[in-house]
Amino acid sequence: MSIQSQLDQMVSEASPLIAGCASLVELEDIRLQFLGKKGALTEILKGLATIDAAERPAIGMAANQAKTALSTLLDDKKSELETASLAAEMVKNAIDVTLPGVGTPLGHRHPISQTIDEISQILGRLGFAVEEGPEIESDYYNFEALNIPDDHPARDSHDTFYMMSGHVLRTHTSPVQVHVMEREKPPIRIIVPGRVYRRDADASHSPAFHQIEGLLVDEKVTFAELKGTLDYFLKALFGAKQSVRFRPSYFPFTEPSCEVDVACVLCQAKGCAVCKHTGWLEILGAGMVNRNVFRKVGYDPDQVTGFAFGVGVERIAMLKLGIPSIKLLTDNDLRFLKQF
Amino acid sequence: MKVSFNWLKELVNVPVGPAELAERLSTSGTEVESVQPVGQDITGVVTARIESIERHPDADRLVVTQIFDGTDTHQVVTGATNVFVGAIVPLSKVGASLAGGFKIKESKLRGVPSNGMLCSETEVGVAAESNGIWILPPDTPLGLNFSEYAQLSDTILEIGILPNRGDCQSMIGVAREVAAIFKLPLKMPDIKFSDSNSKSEWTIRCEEPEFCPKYTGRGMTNVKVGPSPIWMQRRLQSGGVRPINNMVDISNYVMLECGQPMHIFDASFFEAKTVGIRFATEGEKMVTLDGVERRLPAGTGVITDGTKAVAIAGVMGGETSGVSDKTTAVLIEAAYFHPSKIRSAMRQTTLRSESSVRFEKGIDFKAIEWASDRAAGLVEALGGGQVTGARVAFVNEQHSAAQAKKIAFSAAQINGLLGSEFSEAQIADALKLLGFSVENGHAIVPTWRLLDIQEWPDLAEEVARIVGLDQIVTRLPLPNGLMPEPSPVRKLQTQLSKRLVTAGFCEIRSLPMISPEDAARCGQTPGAETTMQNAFAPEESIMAASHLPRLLNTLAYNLNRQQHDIRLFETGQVFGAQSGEIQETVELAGLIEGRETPSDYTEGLQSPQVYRYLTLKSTLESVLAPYKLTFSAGNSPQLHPIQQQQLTIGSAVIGVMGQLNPKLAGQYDVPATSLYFAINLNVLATVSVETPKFAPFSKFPSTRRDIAILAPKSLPFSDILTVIHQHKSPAVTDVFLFDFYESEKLGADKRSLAVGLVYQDLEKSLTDDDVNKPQEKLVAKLTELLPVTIR
Ligand SMILES: [Zn+2]
Repeated sequence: MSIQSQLDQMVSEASPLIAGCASLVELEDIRLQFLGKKGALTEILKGLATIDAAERPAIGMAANQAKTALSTLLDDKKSELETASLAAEMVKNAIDVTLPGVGTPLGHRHPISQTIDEISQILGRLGFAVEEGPEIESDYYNFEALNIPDDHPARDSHDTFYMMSGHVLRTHTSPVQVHVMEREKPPIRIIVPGRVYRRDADASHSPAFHQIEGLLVDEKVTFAELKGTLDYFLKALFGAKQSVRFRPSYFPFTEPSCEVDVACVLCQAKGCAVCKHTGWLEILGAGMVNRNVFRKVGYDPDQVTGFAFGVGVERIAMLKLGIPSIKLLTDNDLRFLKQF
Repeated sequence: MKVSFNWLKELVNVPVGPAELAERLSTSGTEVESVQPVGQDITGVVTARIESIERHPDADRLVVTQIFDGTDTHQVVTGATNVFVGAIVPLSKVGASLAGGFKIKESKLRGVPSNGMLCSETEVGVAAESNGIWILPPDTPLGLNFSEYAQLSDTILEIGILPNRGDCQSMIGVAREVAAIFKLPLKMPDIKFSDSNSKSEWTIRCEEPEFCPKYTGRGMTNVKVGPSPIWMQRRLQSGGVRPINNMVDISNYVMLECGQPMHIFDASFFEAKTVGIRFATEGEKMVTLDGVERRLPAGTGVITDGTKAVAIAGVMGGETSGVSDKTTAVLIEAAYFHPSKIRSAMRQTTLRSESSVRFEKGIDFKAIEWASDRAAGLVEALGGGQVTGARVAFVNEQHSAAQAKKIAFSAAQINGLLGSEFSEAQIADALKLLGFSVENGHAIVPTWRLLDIQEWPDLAEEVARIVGLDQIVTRLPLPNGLMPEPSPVRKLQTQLSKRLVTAGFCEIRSLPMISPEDAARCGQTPGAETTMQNAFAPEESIMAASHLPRLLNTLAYNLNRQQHDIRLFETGQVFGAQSGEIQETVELAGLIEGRETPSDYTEGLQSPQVYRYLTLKSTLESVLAPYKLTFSAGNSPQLHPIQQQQLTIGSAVIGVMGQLNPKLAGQYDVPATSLYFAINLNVLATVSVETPKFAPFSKFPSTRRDIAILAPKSLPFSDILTVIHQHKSPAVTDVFLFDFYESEKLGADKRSLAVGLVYQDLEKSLTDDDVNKPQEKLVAKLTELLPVTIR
């Protein structure tokens, strides 16, 4: 048989073996069988010695072609088998990725803290910086300095807790205004978040709750800026389409004073039990700082004016988050806290 | 204050309905708390007379009445006890409709037919409660449609009185506001009586002209005490006042009408026809009209008959000096008592009356005479009385309440405060509508607003509320330059709270007041500065010195509600005192119970107690980064005596962490394995953080050597670490624990610890000798200095 025929025969013998091979080990055996040092090709080429020198280059080329053909088949098969084996491996070692995650879940900040943060951020954009002060106060800072002398009827609305030492639990965050104005010269632009206390026996009240007080003092501050600040604040808090209404009211430490309502967010101002069928919700109290308060802290009321406002944090949180009872905010039930 | 819409309409021509009126009042500064229709849709009720009353054959508590409505007689069974033969009462006949849509049907009560019902004020919807059947005046005609006759249908506006607006505590006061809002005239009631200018027999002796700058008295005789006419009863009811008899009703009526508290005495009680005003003396007593004998606080204003007290001035009358059925002569008192004195009398006696709340906010000094005359007119008209002489009065014209008040202002000032552009005329018009006189840059304050209006900003408010706050522009304040940073404590509070949330903690915010028991358990000895005088209950009487009691209570609360794997923290002020000075500290504290990872369903990661303690340590290290937290022995009595550590940074002790003291855990019924930590943020804020500086790292390879140490369990790992750090080669760049185990094979009191050391040099590769020699020395030192063996 000619060498050429032997080569052809080798290729036609090897091809189906390669095609039918099922493992990499088997494939390697096939390679060695045909192309290895002691394989079929080597055997065939031993016959070269018997051939004419002139024919050898042609036979050599034929042998290379046969080798290349087999190598290609072997490589393709190898790559095919490797892919299949990797795929099998992956299936075998796969985990169930649909199992739930493991690890410490994120905790929760209290809704009051979240609300204070949100309000502070909104007012921070208008340049209001956060100040804080003591919760156990002297009568002077809680009342006297805020134009609420001892016999003033306004004290009735501040059901006050007294300490044995004669101090009071602050009934509002306004005393911090006085501390700051005593310490610093105008311009002043602060907000004061904090806990306040009222001895109110009503079940819908809590003896302690949170307020945010705002104070802006400068030359030529007017009621128009008060309106602008609160309008911006309430729209940022409740949405740009929110209607805001200013109603005249009375506070001893401001003059003129007002209360600010927003259109009821629960009934879209149609009237419901929460807004007492008025369509409006009272949200905060405000006013131009009373000249007597400036006198108490040594400011000249003819040189500076200012405005102050106070907002109940619980009320905002309850409205925004749909919390039906203030008690939920002090119970600290995890089934409640984990909702926010 | 309750305002009857019907009554209001007689004083001013209200051009709108109750709902719109409420809106207009609210937006001009008079808060309307509610608008309540009353007595509406009442039909089938007529006036009728009780002809006979007989006992019910089968029920002790019921009677059978025959009642005549002018045409027919009806049999009605009733349980009322205040009925009598001849009484004229509202009868709801069969088919009638009462308050709340209640319908009257034929019925039988214990077998006796009853055709209708006798009505109280409640059933016809004009009062929230009543004392039995409504007995009408004896001259009431029979068979009248009662709903029309008594004007049952009305709307009551509940008005919130602002502390500065005592002048609105009357119908005329509210009518004035309404008149100003709608630019309408006020229709004052007419006063008519047969005047007597003859000299009065009465004498007023006021010893306290500062407390009582005006006292007027007027005597009247031939008075017949009896029920008031139905129109007056209805008005009193609408104001929330129960009708009693014509004399008492007149004094209440005049007060509701014009805001001037009145008192009508039985004149016979004043033997000397002298009225005295003085302060109560030490230990003086008096029986007030509620029948209670009271010791009068010294300095309380009293009215006397010349010697003994007959009333607490402006607060409450005496039991015996009041009008009774036998009264035939009366003395009408109308006076001014000093607001703050009345306020302290109210506080000291804890008595509050419709009169005192009006005196307390200040009444119109100049309107007292009008009120006195108004009452005299009504006594003559309704009680047949006759004026016995001119009104007598004591007046202190020097008193501040008697002085006219003139306030200088300019349009520029008002516009400068409001940010408005109101014209001078606009401002003057608004003020005039409210009763001010305006002239030459001054406003003269109406006599009923003297206490309230102090300075020109008050005028600005009056103008703004009448013109409308919506007429003022809305404008943002100009930017303010640099905004200061929050305080270091607040920054820490916010930052650490957020990190704890990331570590799975839930923030609580609890009431800062705790019980004395909580305080004692948690090691607080409250002083006067932190103990409340007037707490609601002892359970909420101490201002807490730490968050621990609240965290314990909250943990127990949640465990009781089937919550588990709980991680809580709270931050905020805690309270203490040092030598009388109150100290408020901002504390951040946490309490954890259960597993580290509640969703951990894989068995291998269940957290044993040691693991939980150590993970809390590393959580605190992360939360407090970049501070370099270290731990030293702790001594908090609330924590486990051994399982606790102090948190320190440098030399500052910033807090504590540890397992709960089992006794404390038992007292709160929470697991003894719960872990607690507390950080004092005020101290932490004083610790400075150094900015990190770059340190070069070696480009030469490192070499690791391990030491396996068999140590007694009683030897703290920190002792081993200390020896290693003291005796290690300078080439050691890291020391770490990489294996830890205890087993029976090792022995019950032994444990194995494997420590790895990393050797590395900045300048060169280390040889075996460079590493092995110091390592051998170190191992030798360990066995020399500590009771350990190397494995
Ligand atoms: Zn609503």
